[in-house]
Amino acid sequence: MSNNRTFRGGVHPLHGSHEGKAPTRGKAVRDYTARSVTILMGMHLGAPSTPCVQVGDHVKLGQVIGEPVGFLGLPVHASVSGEVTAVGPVQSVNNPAAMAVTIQNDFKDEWVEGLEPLGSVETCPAEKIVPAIKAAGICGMGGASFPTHVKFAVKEGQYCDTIILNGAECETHLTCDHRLMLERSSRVVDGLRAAMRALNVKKGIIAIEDNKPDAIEAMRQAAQGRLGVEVMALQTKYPQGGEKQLIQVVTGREVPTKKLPLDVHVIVLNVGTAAAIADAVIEGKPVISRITTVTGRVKEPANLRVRIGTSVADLLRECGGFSMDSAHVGKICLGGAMTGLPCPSVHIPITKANNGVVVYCAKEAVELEESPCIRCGRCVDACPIGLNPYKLKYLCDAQDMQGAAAANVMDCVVCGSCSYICPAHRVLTPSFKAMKDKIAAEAKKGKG
Amino acid sequence: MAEKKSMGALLISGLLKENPLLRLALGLCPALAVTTTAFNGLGMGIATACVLLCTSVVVSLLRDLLPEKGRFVAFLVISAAFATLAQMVLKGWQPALCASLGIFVPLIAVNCLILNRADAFAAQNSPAAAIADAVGMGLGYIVAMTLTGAVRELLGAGTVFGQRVLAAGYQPVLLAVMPAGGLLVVGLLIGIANAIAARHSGKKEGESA
Amino acid sequence: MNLHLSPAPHVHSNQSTRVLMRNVLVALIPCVVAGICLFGYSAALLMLASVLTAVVAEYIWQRATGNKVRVGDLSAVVTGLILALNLPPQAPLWLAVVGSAFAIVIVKGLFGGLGDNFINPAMAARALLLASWPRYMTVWTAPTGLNSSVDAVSAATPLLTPGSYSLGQLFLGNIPGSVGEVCKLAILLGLAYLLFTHTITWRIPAVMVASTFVFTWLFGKNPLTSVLSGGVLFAAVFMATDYVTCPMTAPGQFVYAAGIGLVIALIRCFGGYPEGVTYAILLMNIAAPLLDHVFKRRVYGYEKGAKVQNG
Repeated sequence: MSNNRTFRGGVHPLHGSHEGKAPTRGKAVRDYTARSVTILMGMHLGAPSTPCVQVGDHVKLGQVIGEPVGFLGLPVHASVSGEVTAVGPVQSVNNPAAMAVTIQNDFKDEWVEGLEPLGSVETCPAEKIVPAIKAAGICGMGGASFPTHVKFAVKEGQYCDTIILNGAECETHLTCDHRLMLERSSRVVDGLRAAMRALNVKKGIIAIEDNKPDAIEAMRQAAQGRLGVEVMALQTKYPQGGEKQLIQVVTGREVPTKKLPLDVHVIVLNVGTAAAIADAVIEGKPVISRITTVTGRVKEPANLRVRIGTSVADLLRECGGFSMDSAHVGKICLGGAMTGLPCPSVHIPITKANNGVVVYCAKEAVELEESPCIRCGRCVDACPIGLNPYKLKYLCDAQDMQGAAAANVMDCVVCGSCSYICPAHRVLTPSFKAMKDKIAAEAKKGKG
Repeated sequence: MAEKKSMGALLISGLLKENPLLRLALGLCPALAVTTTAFNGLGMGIATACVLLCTSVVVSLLRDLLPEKGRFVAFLVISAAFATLAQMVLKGWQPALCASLGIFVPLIAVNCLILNRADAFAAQNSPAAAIADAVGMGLGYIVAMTLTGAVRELLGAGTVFGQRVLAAGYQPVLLAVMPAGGLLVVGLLIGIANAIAARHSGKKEGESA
Repeated sequence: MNLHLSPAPHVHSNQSTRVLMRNVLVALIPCVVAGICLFGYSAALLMLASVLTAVVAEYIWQRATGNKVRVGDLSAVVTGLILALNLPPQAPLWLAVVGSAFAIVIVKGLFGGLGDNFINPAMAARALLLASWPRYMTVWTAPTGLNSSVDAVSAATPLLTPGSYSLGQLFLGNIPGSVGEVCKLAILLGLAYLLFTHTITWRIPAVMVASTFVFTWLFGKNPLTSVLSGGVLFAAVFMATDYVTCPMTAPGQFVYAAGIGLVIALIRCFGGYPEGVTYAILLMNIAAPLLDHVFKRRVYGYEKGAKVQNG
């Protein structure tokens, strides 16, 4: 058992097989550029952007193709240069008709004119950093896809004293953050420094699970001599990288219910987001690509730097296809095994937040039959929040919204720990997610 | 009462649909304590039914005179008078039974079955209706108490009303004649009664639909 | 390609109800072997009768009530076997049959089946048998070994004659007692297996034994003999740890286990029974929902002591 810091509860999924990371953690990131990309307008949390190009237009790399809408709005940029071949709704992972722009790649990779690099993160004007982040279309690259510039919007009376870089990568299978920290260590630190300077924060902590000793070492070296930056090793346990858990472990503070990290003076950024911030500040480049781990039942699992909008089918082809007959493929998920979203088809475009594509065979995808709760209490022990999942399940099954709300269902972080551990295979997390959505929808209705 | 039931309906409902012990769960204490034999159950049932009948009639006659506040005190005085009477009769007529029922005969005065019927029915209805209700409820209680006693006696001694039913080699379940066993038997009988009622009402709905 | 769309998580721990029950059965093997070696084949027959009855009763009950038949989860096997291990070796077979059927149908089935029973079925069945047929349930015989032609000699339980057996005898099981509870070595082997497979945690067994030790000591008995005689150890490992009827949070489990030890000590030192483990566990089973209500984990993001409604 590791002595490193951790939170209470949690589980160890795929512990016997190195959290499923063994096939890709030693593989260096390689570039892959698709022949055509389908860029979704709604990649970030918030209203989808409005397409500002038309079919037949020629676009350059990094050119704005979607205008931001509303407070949480972000611009969308062309991730390849070439001709726009379609503007219209496509199937995304959770929306059958999501607005998107399809671009045929001319492989010239001509950058758009007018990029405004700010230069070194240590000397550039601090007040220009947040606008640069917004202009680069950066949103949380760990999965939540919350617009990053909004995270930096410190309200009257609030302040931030610590920025945490989330390099825990507690999800199974994924190694994209691991490889990023190994291969672009100083860029990650640059991003952290830029964020710290933007808000005049004195302390920046890079938190990494101890199943990545090489990344911890690389980041320690990169952080040497950088003002206020330190690296912290955490115990390997899921969901160590959950925002609430991370803040608790790193700072000893708890985000009060219904509040944001900034209310306890903390901002948490994914390491990928930090690298994107550094790219935006130093080179003025928007987000046009990201590292995605393609693993599971594929012939050659890999970490690929892919253009935003590349389809899952292209990624699978690039990795040698399925490692078995396609008739035996059970499930393809965007993200790791604990929170990944199942794809309805292989023609799903990659977004800024997609950190992995994991293929499961039919046997792995089989749904376990629910049996009666035996009150073993494993879910109570596993819940990182301290909820009573077994009781919550009865309330959710009875559609008792008031009861579920009183039992703190809104505090559930939907990490999947309870469902993972339940010996009776009860459908816990999905029930809670459905109940949370229902209560939120009801609250919205009440307001509007 | 929202709807006036006929006398016959009142009689029948106390026996079956609103059986005080098995459907309304009234008068549970003596049901757990003294129904160790069918005879005890029958005796307790009859004694309670008599007190119930007399109390209901008197309460119904006095219903316009009883104050809203403190009416329970009046019910108690009336039922206590009849309970004392019942004990005297029992002592003179069936001294053995009276001894085995013990404290539960005077305790009929505070039996919740009697207080419930006095308050919920007799205090709001004519004496004739009160008699019909009390007779129905009383008979229902007698039947349920005798049944409970019979089951417990059968399990706990292999006899019913002292007559050997099960073979002599039967190893009696002593638990059945202990209070815990009484709880189990009453619980099972209530469960069976509920199941029958559920089936019955299900049929009715099916017919009317 | 037929893509499943079932929601996350997409992996599952390899534990299932069946696996957990199987672990318990494996952990019981040393006790079963020790029981047969010490008390002969009559003990084996007793176990067989009890387990068969439990499984058949579960099957018939689930069929009759129109529920899915889940005999395959092995929970009925565990109940039947634990009941048999709690019986005196010379108990008649019909006793095991009646007890087992009572445990499955009345205690478990009537309350809603696996997970919904409020007291441990095997313990409740033992209480029924003890109350109904004390002359079979309180007659103990000294171990005869496998050679069952030797007539069993009835003997007093060590609980009534403290000091007549050495600690070594108490530990290895060469004493009169229930089939499964006499050999402490076998029980400890089972405990080791349960802990190794993460089937149970150390909390309940450790606290319950410690609490029995401390309280019998405080009440003026030899604590070591108290812990090693009777069913304390067997109950601590296999019955107090029953998932369904014990509290879920760690503090709740501590109080629950300590309470069992206290009640055992009270019954043994001041009560009418020489044993008391059965009633101690049944009493604390009933307290489990209350303990769950009192000892809740603090919910993240709420002040300590702040009013959190949690289920």
